[in-house]
Amino acid sequence: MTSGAALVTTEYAYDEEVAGRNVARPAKWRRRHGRRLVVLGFMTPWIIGFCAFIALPAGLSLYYSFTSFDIFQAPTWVGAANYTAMLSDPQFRQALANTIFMVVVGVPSVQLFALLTGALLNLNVRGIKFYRTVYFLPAVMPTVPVVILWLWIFNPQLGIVNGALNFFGITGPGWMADPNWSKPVLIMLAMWQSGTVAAIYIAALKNVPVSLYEAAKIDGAGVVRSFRHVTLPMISPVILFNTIIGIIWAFNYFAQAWLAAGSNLVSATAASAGNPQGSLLLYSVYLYVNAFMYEKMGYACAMAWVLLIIVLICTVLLLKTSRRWVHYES
Amino acid sequence: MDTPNMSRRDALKFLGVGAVGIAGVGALGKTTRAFSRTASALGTTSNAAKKTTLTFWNQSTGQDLADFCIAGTNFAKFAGNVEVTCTGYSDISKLEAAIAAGTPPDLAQVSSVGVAPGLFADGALIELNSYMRDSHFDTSAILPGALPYGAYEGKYFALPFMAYSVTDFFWNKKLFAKKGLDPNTPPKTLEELKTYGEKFDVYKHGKLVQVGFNPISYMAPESWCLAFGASFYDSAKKEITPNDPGVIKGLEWLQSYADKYGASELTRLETGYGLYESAQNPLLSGAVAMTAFWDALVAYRDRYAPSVELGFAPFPYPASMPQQKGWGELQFNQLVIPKGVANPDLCWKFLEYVENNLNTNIQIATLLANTPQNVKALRSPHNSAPPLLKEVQEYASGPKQVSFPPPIPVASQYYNSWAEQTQLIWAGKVSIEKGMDTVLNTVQPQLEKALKR
Repeated sequence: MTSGAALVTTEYAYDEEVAGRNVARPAKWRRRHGRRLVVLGFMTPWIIGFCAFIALPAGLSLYYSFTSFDIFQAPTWVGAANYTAMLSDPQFRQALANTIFMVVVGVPSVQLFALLTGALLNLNVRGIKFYRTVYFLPAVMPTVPVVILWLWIFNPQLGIVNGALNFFGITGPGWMADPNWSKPVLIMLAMWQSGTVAAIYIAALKNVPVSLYEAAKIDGAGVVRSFRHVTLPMISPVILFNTIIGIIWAFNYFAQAWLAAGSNLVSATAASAGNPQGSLLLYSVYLYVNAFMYEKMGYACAMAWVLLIIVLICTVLLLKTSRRWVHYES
Repeated sequence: MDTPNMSRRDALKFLGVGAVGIAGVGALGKTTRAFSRTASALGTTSNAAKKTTLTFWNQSTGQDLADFCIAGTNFAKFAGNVEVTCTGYSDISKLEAAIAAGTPPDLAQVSSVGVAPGLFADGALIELNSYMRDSHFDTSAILPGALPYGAYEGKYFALPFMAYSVTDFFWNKKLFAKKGLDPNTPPKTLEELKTYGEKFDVYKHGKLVQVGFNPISYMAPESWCLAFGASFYDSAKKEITPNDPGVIKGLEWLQSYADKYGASELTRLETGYGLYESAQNPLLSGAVAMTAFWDALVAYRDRYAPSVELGFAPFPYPASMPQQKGWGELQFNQLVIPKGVANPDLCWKFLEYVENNLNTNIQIATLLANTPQNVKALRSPHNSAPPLLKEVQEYASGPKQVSFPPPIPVASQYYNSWAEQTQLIWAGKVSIEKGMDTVLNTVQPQLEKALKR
């Protein structure tokens, strides 16, 4: 160790001399900081990327949220006006209400569906790999064709859903043309595409020790009680993870709602953001409309920060309550 | 501590290489940008001294884009030393980002409703008045109904380029004959339209399965208001006028259909009409006997249902308002020159060419089965459009053709607020008065704020 250190010190002194700067630094400094420099060197590309594409835009977005900014002219400082304007903006309230519906109804529906499907796809039955593949397929399909497909399936006149309902003498609703059904249809779409969520649940289910089920069986527990008292506690960290991701997903829900609202498959003449009747005016849709259709970038940035705060609060609340219902083996 | 640590020299080398790399990438970026700017300013590409490159962004895709791009190809041939790069874009945010970044296209076609006035109010577009004056631009050559929607308070910021919607009235002659109606005599008034439509209504087991005319199919609420001569903006007072008597009458007329059939029933039927650019088109498939539609229906008929005998007429007007005879609504794509272009004079030459070159207008209009903005082009003997399409084009050149929304700085907001409230009115969730008050109270403060800037 000593000889190695001496060798490096000699090299270091040599380097400084070559550089024309005969300023020897103690080996201690080198040992302390040399490694850090190496680490820093490896991290530099990421740091540059983080600063350029995350920190700087986020900082600028925060600044713009306190300005009147139309993208083309220099922003002018307006203080908290953008934030206070939200309180008196009925469309903001409508967008928030629609989004909360997606969170409160959509997230539990998707999670429950994915969990139950995951449990089914965890069974040891013949052809299970095929079933898993089929179930996962919608998750890898591109958004635009999926939305168009969904609009056809739920077309009130020509769609197979209403066709099937008609067969049983039931008059189906307008689905995407009906403000009461447009959001539930999108939630059903999310359930159909929940293959990724289910895959995470399957992985978690496979990690539940078989011995626990055996012990439960000896204690007289049936399938339901085993699921309730063994499976759920054991996979509760994954449920927490999926729920948090689901909440973030629901608050950011955009593409499907935007495409469905603007599609002439819903209405050729009333195609506008939030169609039908503002029922699909979700938070992120309204944010986009403000930013790029109304050129109110300052207001849109303020909305983005409010959204961040809302998501943060929801996440913190969920984490706080998780102490009561999430079971960690360790 | 004899772990195989990287030596200081290696670390410095690594950092040095990294720094040089980053600096190199930065320098390369700078050089590329500088080169790009110089190229843009000088208008040079490979053939540095001769060719000027112009970029033409078009808000369309597929075959439509290819057809629109002919304008660029033709201008390049006409100008001789110009090359035009034509690119499609679908989302208006891309154009906005390009303008904000200082790298705008030289000419952009905007199709999103109400966007161009907002861009102009925000200082993102070049005012065209001085160019139009200096080049003696003949405004009388442009369809009178299309031109005003590219100007606010006398300042032009956009010129029309090919219609994307013209509210025409079509009917299926065979279906008329089957019901004992004269296949060559369409309804002339709105009242007749309603009576004629009822003859084709079909109920099965008490349920409405077909209507002769669906008032919300390819006909927006504002169109009904325009039929009653509605005005949506008072330019003298600088106020939007959603409570204009014409607006109220139009919405009441539309509402009378909801009262008769039920709004949800008509909406259900409308959403089931399928894709309009196909044999599913309700008029071509026989799902309705009459419809509002735009000029392209002639081409769709030829392509998907050539056996259907179409009739075309000006849209019916209120019997009590004969002065409204010949009214119509049209929407045109708009051409704009963004601020920050390297060579605005050349951009104007390009725009002027696109507006006025008859061959280019006829060529593109024929390919798109569309109505060109140039009156001389649509009346040219070289216009090879089918006779029915020529009738439609001529109708669009009439003096009573109007558009919506008005080209005010908050046109997008007006359009969206209007669309939302009229949907609620149609669904019976708010009254006409309350809905229009909401539009007024939502949009007018934004207009005042925009005008103060």
